[in-house]
Amino acid sequence: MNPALLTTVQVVVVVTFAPLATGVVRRVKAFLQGRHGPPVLLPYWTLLTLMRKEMVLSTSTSWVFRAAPYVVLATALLSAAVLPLVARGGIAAPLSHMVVVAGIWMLGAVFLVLAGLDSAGAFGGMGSSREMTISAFLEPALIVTLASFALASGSSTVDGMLAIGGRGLLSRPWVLPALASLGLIALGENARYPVDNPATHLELTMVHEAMVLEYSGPYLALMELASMVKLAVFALLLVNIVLPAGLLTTATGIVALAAAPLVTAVKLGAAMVLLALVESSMAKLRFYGLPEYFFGSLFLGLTSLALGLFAGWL
Amino acid sequence: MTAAGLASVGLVAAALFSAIAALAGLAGRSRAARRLHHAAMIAGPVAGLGGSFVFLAWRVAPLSLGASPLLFHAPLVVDRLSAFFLLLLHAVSLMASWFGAKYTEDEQDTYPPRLVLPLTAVFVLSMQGVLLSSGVASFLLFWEAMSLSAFFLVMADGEEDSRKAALLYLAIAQFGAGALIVGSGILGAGSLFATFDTLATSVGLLSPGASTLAAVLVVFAFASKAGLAPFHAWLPEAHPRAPSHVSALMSGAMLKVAIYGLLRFTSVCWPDLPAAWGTSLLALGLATAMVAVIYANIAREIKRILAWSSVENIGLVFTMFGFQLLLRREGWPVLADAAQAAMFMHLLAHALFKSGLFLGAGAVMHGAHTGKLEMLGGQANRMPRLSVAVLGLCLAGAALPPFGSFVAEWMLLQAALTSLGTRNAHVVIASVAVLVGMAFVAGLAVFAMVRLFSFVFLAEPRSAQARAAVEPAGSLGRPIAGLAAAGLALGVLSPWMSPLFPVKLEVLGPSLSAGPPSSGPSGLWLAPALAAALAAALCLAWLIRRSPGSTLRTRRSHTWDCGQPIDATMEYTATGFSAPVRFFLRDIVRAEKHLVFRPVVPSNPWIRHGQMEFRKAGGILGRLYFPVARLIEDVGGWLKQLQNGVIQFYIALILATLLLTLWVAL
Repeated sequence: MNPALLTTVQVVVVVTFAPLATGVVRRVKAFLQGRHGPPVLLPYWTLLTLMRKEMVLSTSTSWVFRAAPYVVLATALLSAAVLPLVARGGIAAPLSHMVVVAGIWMLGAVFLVLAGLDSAGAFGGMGSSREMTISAFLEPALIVTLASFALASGSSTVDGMLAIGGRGLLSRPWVLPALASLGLIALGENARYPVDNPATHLELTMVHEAMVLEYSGPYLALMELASMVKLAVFALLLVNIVLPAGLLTTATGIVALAAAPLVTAVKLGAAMVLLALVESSMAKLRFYGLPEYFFGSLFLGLTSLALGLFAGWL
Repeated sequence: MTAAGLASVGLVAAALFSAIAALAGLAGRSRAARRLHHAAMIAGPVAGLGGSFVFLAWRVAPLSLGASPLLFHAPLVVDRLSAFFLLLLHAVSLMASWFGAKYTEDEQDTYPPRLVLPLTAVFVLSMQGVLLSSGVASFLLFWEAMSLSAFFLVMADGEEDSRKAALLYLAIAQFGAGALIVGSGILGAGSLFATFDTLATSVGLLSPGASTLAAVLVVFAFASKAGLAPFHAWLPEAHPRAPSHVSALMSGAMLKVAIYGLLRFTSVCWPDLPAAWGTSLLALGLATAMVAVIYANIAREIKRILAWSSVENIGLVFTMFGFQLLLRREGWPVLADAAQAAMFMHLLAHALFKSGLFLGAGAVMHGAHTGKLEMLGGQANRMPRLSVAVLGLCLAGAALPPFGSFVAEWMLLQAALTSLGTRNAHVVIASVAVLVGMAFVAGLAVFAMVRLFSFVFLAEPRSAQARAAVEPAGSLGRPIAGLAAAGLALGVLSPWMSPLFPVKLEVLGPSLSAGPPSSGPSGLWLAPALAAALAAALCLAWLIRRSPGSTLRTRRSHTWDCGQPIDATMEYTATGFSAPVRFFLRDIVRAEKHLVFRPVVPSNPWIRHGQMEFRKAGGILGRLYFPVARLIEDVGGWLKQLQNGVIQFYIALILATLLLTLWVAL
């Protein structure tokens, strides 16, 4: 299959299923808490409704506030295009270099933070300060964790790192701490438990929701879609490292194209059930307790790296 | 005319224009003289930029521009290394002079033109001289002229704090210059009139001990000038004090001239410094960057934040320098070349974005009459064009894609990743340190830059003067926009930038498994691809926004604040924004927090006025410099006991000296 087609298919599939993933995790969490919960397709309706709604822009804001939704969504879309989520070896795969991926995620976080501060409210500022802290302190953990995968797979692109996915992990068990670290980073980057509470009713404890508090209408839809896509990207990435089956490549025929959405939906569903279980079984950390979380993640990554380097020497 | 001829004409003209500007500036009271000064200050860098560009792009062989008895008969020479730094210097000085032409006219009351104009020209001229000198004596002469003109420029506004900062700067600069003179004296076997060519041979005749001593002195001199910890104390004090276009020159160009000196002396005299030098410079550089980036998040004044960020970036440059030195000594030349390319890329990228940011700070302070973050805000609505340029510069300062500084970081990290496969314990440990340290610094650098931009440009203004600010004149804004565009172009067009650098630019390929890395196809073409992909993603986001069925209806209202009207007092402050950094890293920062509460009514202790104060615990001055100074004072005080006024004791001392001399002599 054509590499350009692979990337296109991947972006379309991920963006299409991203709201579903959010719907599934909400529904499963509600079930685990003994509630009935909203229908799993509700996020689609939310996005469509928001797109049709009139937008209210704060008088305190500037052009940065209006530019941020585009940049935030663009970085989410770009990470959905370059990472190996539905297909490997797409035309954008060389751009999945770990430094580039970290840079793209950071760019999105930066504009989210700028938008939160631009609204001039205390909630936005509070959320921005926390988001910036989380992004800044997770950066070393992210780089070290991806470096361990790079060392294991011999490639510094995430696309190449999947070469050791699945059974390859068992022959290099020293990568497992890095996998755990990547899980912690995924929770932190996506503003999930135990770093942030995505469904709180109290603005004071929010991170992500506090920053987008002033958005409404289509801009809020873009921001929500961006965070849904980002969640789906991380979920698929983690699943693919553990189970790299069913990925499209340049070698697969056009028939596999029909199966790709189904495989992706199953992977996303499994990841979201797991996420709901994780989130329902732990309490949110106090914000000032987060350094342990960051350094724990960094330590796991470093452990992998050190073990991997020793394994290489032996 | 040949390329060599064009290059030499351009570079000589650049120096001559600086001299003309210095002379014209002396007559700074006359308007015509000032106009001539500004014209020469802009014409000089244009000629220099053209000359160095032609020299680099046409790959001209090293070129002599002629000698003069005034410069001790050592010819002015340009080679690829100095041409790269000349390009950097002239790019920065062009934009700084363009900005300065309006800025110095408007700020005449603060910065007397008769002082600032000639000194700025001398400052630029002496930096050109340092880069062109081929003899040690002329190098030292220009070096001192550079230090002294910068010293006077730092205290140009005549304030007490500026004088203190300038004297601290002068003390460290003279200490460094002394070390440089002694070091060069050792290298030239007692003579300061050697040229770099003769130095290369005479250093071979030195004993290993003398050579190492000279290396320590020379590296100390350049490191203290560039602001490597623990000799960086002057930088965050002095750089913010100068007029903004001079701050831009100091951070953008002068620090790079110090790095040039380091590269020149080490390449001439010690082409085979042992690996331990690489490790120590790497460790010092990383430590500098990590500490400085924390203070960049704590400082509350624009130019102070920028100065700390300069310390951080110089730390990164030393990290890259040390890393490439280590890799070369351990026998990995391809990896060393990649790290070296990252260093040159970072030098140019930092020169562009940091001078732009200092000019931007000048423009903001010019309009809002304050540089304090807690008094600014809301400028994006008042200065929209400036805010776009400064946001670009801040993103470059945060090393985010697709700017040149990101490409430099990418080059270094890929070299460090590839080094993990070398199976050389020394190299592997250094690469892990580089990976962790760089990521820590990168994360907090983003924090500092976001904080800088947000609290100047976003939300509601926090003071009446910030509320009244307006967009600065085009001649102030355009140089800033130019530097932002240059920083972007450096990243997006990096595959085509190689001819401008003294080394080959490359991002090593993504494969780590090949064992000893090969010089395969460069990964640098990914930089423009990334920019294109980002642009495509932005278009896609725009299409989603404009999808059929979506509405464009918009209404303006105030920010929701629990039903109350909102004003600037409800906003987050810059101090509050970086509170997590201070708290998480409190063992390094060691700030003292003082809380004072006074009840409004004596009978009710719960309703009270609160006052909070943060005090930084001394910093490097309090922890290192003052104890050393006290030690010297104590030793001096103890020695002073010799001077007790008893004549018999003095005679005994003379006798003892005589006996000692005789004993030594016989």
